[in-house]
Amino acid sequence: MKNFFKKNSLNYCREFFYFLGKFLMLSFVLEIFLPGVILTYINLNIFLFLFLLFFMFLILFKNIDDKN
Amino acid sequence: MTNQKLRIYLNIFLLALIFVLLWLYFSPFGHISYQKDFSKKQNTFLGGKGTIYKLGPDDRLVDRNKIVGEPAYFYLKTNRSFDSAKVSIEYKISDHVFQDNDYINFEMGVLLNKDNWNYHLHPVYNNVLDSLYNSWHKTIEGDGTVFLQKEKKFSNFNDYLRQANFSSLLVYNYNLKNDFVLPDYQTIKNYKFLIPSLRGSHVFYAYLKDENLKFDFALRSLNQENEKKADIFVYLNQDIIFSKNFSVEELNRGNLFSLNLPGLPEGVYKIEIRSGDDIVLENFTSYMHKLVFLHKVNLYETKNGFDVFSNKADLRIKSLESKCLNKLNINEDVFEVNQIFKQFNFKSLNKGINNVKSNSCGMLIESNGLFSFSYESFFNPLISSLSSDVVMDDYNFILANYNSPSKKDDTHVSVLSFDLKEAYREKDEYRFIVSAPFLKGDDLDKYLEIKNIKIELQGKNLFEKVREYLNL
Repeated sequence: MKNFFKKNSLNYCREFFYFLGKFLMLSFVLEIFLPGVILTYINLNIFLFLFLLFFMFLILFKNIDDKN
Repeated sequence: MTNQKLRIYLNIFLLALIFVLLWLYFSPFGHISYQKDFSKKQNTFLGGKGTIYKLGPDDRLVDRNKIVGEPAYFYLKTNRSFDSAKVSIEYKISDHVFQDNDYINFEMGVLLNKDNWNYHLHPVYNNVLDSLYNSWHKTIEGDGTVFLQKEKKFSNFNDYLRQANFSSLLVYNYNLKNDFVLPDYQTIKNYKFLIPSLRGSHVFYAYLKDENLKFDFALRSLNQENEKKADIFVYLNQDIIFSKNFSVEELNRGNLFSLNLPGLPEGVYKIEIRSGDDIVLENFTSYMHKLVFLHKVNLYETKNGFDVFSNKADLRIKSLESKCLNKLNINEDVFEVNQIFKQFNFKSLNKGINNVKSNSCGMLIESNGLFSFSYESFFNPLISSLSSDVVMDDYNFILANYNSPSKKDDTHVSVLSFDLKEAYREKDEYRFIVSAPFLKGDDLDKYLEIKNIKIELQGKNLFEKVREYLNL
């Protein structure tokens, strides 16, 4: 049960990590062609920091699937 | 929830977010509204830098939104250009300002020209007019202009215009067409007067009758590395009757230019020289007997000091070079300008023409009035306008283009309309000025607190923009 919960949480984390990656990549591309479109309304620093946290977290737990 | 479902929801959310941001970026229907609450002291955690920002400079602010020295500025960032803006501003003027000032005038403007820092100002708050709106007889004209009479003598302003004597009329934020005539004007044959060198933009008025509009001058660039330009415009009433653009090469050479316009009818002609502060107007010879400069003279490297006359007693004087720091006489009083770039406010008690004399090699002298370089050449073609040094007892009529702000508790709310078609735009920003001359920066209890600014923008829709881009 514990492992199932851990595994699901990790999968959700992975999905949020992919989502943040897509969002940041799209933001950078849009900012290049349409300057100000994102940065006027959204502070990307926070999302970059979150992306970094997810990245570290997933690297730390990358072998959890193999163990199960 | 399965991973698959979560991924779909997140992708939909991402697409929706991008769609909203693109919608805000392009404003396809041509209108959008931005708001900034300056009373919030902290920035939102996730929010971007916003569209209304950089209220400053910081050394004129207290608590981030209380202006203690003027002028202050803020910027509006828009991703596309717009034609007009309706600005709604919420502000509070501190009690100390009301206690210490008889005349409180607060204006806001948008930058039109960066070369001469020309702003189109709109009145936001004027305490004298607010009080007169309640005590004098008030008529609202068809275009929204307000005509005030101390005692009711005329049914409306058109009725007043028929009597053609404007000596007791004050205007405020209104450009009244005035066919000014000097009754005893005599042409002086072979008249010639050398005006000291001047720096930057200047506006002056000349009177002529049966003579040519004639000036000789040279415009020379002090900084030949910068790509600068200068223009001259001659106006009769509001119409441009002559204009010339000086190229970079002409400004670098600094050759003598002769302006000579024959066959003009009697009247007042406005001449505007529009340039940056690194352009010098030199070898300036006037063949016109009556000549006055509007609002400022920026004297540059005068050889034997200067002698200037003004109809205003409130003078703002600044030295732009350390070698030009010197004493100056305003009528009989002696003042000293002993710091460069610092604005000194000098006031004389004289009600007539004031004489400013100095051995300095040049200073920037500003006032709300007119300047001349000889007593004889002074004349006043302008209708008096409401300002801090006006004695209200001398006037019986006021024509004002001003709406009183609404008031809730201690906060005033003013709504202004700006034309942005001619506004200067750089890096997707419009630059706004907050002008409040009653704030001297010397007392932190005297402040103007900006609480909220809401800007509603109107412009072409996306379809019209595309047509314009394709030249259809």
